[in-house]
Amino acid sequence: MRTKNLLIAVAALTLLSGRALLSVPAQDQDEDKAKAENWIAQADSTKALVESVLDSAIEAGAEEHPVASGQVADAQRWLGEGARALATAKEALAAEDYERAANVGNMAWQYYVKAGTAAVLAAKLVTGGT
Amino acid sequence: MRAKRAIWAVAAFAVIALAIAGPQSCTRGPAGASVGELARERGLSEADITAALKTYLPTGQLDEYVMFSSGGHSGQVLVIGVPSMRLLKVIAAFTPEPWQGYGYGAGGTMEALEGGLVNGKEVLWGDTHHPAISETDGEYDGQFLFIDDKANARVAVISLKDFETKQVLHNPLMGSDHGATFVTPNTEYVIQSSQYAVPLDGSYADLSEYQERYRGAVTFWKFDRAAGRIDPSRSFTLELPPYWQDLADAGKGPSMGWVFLGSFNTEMATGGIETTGVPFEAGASANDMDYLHAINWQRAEQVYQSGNGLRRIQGMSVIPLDVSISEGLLYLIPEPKSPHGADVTPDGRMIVTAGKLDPHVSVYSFEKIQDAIANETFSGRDPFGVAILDFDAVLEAQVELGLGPLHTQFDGRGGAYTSLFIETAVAKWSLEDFTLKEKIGVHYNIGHLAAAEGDTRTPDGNYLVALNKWSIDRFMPVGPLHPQNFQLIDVTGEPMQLLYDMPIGIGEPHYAQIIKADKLDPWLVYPEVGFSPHAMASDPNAVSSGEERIERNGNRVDVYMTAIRSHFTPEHIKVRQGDRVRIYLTSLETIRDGTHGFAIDKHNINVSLEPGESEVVEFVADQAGVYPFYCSEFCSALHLEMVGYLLVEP
Repeated sequence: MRTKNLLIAVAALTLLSGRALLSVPAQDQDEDKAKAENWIAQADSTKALVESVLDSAIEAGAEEHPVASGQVADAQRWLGEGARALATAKEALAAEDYERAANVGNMAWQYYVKAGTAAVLAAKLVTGGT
Repeated sequence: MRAKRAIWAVAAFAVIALAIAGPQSCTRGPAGASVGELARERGLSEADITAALKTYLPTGQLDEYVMFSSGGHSGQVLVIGVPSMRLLKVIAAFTPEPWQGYGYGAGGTMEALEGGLVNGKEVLWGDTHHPAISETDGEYDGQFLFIDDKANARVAVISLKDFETKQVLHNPLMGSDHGATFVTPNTEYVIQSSQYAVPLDGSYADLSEYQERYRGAVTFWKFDRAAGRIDPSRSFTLELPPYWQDLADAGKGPSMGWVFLGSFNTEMATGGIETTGVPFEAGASANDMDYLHAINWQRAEQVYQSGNGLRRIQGMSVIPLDVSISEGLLYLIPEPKSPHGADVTPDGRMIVTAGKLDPHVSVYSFEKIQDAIANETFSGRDPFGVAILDFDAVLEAQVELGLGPLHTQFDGRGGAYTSLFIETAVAKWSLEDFTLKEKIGVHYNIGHLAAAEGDTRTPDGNYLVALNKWSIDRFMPVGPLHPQNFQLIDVTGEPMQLLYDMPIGIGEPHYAQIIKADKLDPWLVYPEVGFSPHAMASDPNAVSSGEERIERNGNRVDVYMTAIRSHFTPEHIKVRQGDRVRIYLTSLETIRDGTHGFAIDKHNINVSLEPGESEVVEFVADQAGVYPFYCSEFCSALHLEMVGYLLVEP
């Protein structure tokens, strides 16, 4: 059951983050603001998905797995980086510094992509690498 | 037929035994144990056994395919049998390799390496990326192999008659390359495109002048098949916008005459995290779309040959960007997002791209591209005036595959295979209905993948190799630098089956191509005694038996030497300190595997003399003393007696 849940979570990450990636920022006068909001939204949604994959991996025993535990730690590290960047991006958005908000929001998302990469590896390792 | 039945009987027995025994811990099993006992004791599953049966080759049997793989930072090319995944050879290209006598005195090899001087300096490593087998009519012809060195924008030419490097060239216009090497369908040209933009003239320009002074480029190196060399004097380059051009693929069939290059950093980000706080990874991934470059190389060839508007930059003929625009040589096509691979389908009708940060592959129609060009269905122009084709007008389909799609290969049955880096899997999808069929996990984080003849007009499919960047837990630990992992996958049916793991411990290989073994026709010995591998012809300085001699002319000493089991002739070479010594070496051997070496103590000289080969080594005898020279290849029972003395008188 745990493995099944884990695979479902990985599939969800694949599909939902894919949809998030496809969203295109508005091309109007508020383009900078829209771009910033879009990056932040992508980062937020990807964060939630990565956390769910990681939670499932942990539930399946990844923290106790001799190899997967390293990926769990790596994912957690990147989630931390992502959270810091996301908070900074949101502060910049509130301060109407849209260029900074977009750049840092992009970085937050990049951190979550790295976290997701590690979380997927943790999941694969704990389920036997398939 | 009997043998086939026997194999299946063994397999069936093993499977039954397994079903009874169930998996157990891995042990060696006693010698002489039955298959069933071995399987039980080693804990092998039915899938393990079928995988073993599909890959095992008894001694003396040969592989069905040969894979040429980049050797990564080793600067070499790996030759691997498929499906056995046995390493057959390492071909030295950019890096000296002593066993092959490449770069340790043998004249032809020294000349090849000198061709790769970078701004006059020796650079004796290479970051090999993409091997390309020569093609005829869009099919591998097994005659030549090309490989690039990303780090130094170099290209090497390897003959598949003797699997040796004949030529190395440096492209002075580029800092580094990535869209290299790829060939046009008849190997008219070897394609090399830049990765990170630099000023083409090699001058300094501050990053604040990035848009004005920095440029990308794609060079079409003219290949002279008869000479077995690239001819720089008949090669040309297109100046490109300072995006970071990526992988390339040449059109074929209906798209013959075109080449397609992915790109990223169309933002033209200049990085500087330390001052701007925006690293390249954010700046160069800000746009939702980058640009696939569509280049009409046949028309570019005509422009080059006309000479109109050409510039000479660092000795290279360059078609400036404004000429490419006015002549209709270059168009841009939006492609999402931070794209990497660009792969033309076997029928030449479609181009598949994959964005590293987009879960889809995007499939473009060549016919729609042509219509959009003809009808000027443009969504705009880039800052340099290059027309951007309307995305929707040229898109055929998008297929959602998974996280981190990179590269696509084909199986000739309508199947396409795309590597998924983040998801660490290979996705199989259909070119007919553009749907995902299945995925197989790989270990781990795949980069390129190579299917048998998978980028030709008629791919075989059958086998696919995943070139994985990480191995993590797949192999015995060997310290913090882990091997990479090539995984062989059977793609003859569904589901795909993982067959074999091959650790690669010499570099970070990028791409590979797999050719049918029977398309290769290498020499087993050189065609005649006294053959020069460099000239690929009879060597006028070759030495016949009985004509060995030493000639002095002033302070130059010419030694005409032969080698045969188990002696060199002459065995004594007496020179004076300061003499320039040239030794013409000829192997008189004519049998398969009758290779000799020629190593001189303390002179950094080691030559591989394959049967019939003629070589020359030249050096200054600058230190008085006694220096044995010997055969460095175990050639015969009295191999250790195959020796001589270089005597350097003070």
